[in-house]
Amino acid sequence: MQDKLLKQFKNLQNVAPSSAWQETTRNFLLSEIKKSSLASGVYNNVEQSGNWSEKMFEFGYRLRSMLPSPAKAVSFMVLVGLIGGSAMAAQASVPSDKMYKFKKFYEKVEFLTATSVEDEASINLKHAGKRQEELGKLMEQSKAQGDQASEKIAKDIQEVTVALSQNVTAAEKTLSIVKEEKPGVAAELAKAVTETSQNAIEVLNKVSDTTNTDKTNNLEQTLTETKKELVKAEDKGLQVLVETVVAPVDNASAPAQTTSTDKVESKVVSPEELNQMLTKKIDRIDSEISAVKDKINDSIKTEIAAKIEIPKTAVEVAEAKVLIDKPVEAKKILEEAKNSLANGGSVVDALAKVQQTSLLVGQADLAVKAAEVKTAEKSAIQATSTTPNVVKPIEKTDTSTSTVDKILKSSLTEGLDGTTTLEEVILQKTDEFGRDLTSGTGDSLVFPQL
Amino acid sequence: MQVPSAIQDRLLLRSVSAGDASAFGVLFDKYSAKIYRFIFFKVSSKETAEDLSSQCFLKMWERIKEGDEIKNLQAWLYRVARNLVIDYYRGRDKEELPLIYQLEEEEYSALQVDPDRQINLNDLQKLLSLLSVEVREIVVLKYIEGMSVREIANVVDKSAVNIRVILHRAMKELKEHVVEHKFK
Repeated sequence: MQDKLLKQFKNLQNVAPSSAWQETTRNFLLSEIKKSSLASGVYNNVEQSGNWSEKMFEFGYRLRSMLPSPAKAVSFMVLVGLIGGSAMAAQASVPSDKMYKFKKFYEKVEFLTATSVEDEASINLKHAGKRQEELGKLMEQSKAQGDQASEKIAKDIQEVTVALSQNVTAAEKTLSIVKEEKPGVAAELAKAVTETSQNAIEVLNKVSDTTNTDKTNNLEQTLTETKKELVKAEDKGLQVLVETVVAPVDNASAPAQTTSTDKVESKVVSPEELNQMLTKKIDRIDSEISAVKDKINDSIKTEIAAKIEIPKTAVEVAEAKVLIDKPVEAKKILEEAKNSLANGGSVVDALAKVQQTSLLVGQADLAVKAAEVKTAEKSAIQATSTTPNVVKPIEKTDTSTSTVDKILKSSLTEGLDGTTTLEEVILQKTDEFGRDLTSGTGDSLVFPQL
Repeated sequence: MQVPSAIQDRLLLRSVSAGDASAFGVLFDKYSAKIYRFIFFKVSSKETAEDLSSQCFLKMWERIKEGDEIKNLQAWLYRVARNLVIDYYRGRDKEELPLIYQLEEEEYSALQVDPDRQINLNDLQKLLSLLSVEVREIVVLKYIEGMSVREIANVVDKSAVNIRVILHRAMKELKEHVVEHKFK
């Protein structure tokens, strides 16, 4: 339908101005030009120069006059050699080097050689690879300088990270188009997008670990945002790979026989490669889950524990639920995906589970960050406040209160282990002690120090 | 060997600046209908499109007369045409709106298209007018004028990737409109 419609659009070329308007405007403009030419003494005799062959000769003569002399040709070749040499030399440069602008210029020129959409995407991915190399060099520089690592390096890292994000995002966007318009080459591009994104995520994780992100305020934010974009591109790549390589084979065979090992028959990606890519993502998410869990545990055990109050409102209960539940849920689904892949299950299902897990980890991470911000704000308010805390903890005078603390402590640990959720704990406590903790009107309790 | 269009334009511009009126005539013949169409699909008025097209070529001559170089004539003409349309709407009251706003509700409901059959020019224009102005101009340049993505990017000052994404979305949107207004 699309092709037919586009062909019909060509018919709109028949929309044209009236010949009367064309004639009048043309004559008016030509007379203006002639008048100006006569007034300024410039008069060209081309129009009066007679027949067609003379005009062609004139045209040929002008074209020849534009051709370079041998000296110019040699100079041009020397210049090309110099440009080529400089381009080679500039390849190892990083943003603060003088040659870096030349490198970027050369990269722009490279796009002119692209003859198709997928060519452009490949160039973008190639440039993404260069950005990763640059990040590696900058990390080395940063390590060598230690704490003295300059603000300049941090800014360079930020600049390269933004460029990396742009390259990968451009390739990812192109992939969507290629998938629909040129399905034959989509798998190859999807593989390249996935691999580049995964490698880039690894590099950015190293950057986060080794670089002092305090050097520039926005570096941490840039790294986080770029990682999100890269994960998006990775997801898109895997999705397209599964849809174009595995799914058609899945559909062709019986639905009951959807295993990961016997379906992938593409020359572009082998079953082992696809499994490897998925496993790489699974392992990364696994370590992210552990990191989020550690953050929650650390927060509760150390800094937040003494300050966070038991959630009172429904919103706070929901937030706390996310904090505790998501990593547990994510871990569970991830294990299912792992087992599915290991036992030759459906790659499509495994990918869906991995993507679901990725989403949950993202939500949990956001919740942890929000909790940390809240705690920091509360600490700041408490530090600046001249009056004692408005919300006073319940006096631990009777034995029942210490029982509350004990149960909360054990329940919280249970929640983290995945057996009980915090909401259940809270609701259980509400029933047990007859206090409505979710209404926001009752006295608040202070989390026990774990 | 055919001389590329951009080089032809540069040679002709050089002739015009040397006072060769016929070279200007060649350029006018080459671009007048294209520029007219580009403007017409934006303003939907024949008279206004002709008037703005005239202004566009007059500006071209003024620029050459002042001795300013035009590096890429095609892109330059389309950019001038765009700006003229923007200026035109700035100086107009609300009642003179582009085609998309002028078409009555009934006209849209009466619109019936079938890509398998020949669609008349009027219905094609209506279909085109269902797209937003920004998207429409890119569709016009790509599918009616046959310009490359890079050439369009040069005219509308967007990246080639952006243009591709816009075209992709435009096709999706057009498909939806075709389904909605399919000939029954």
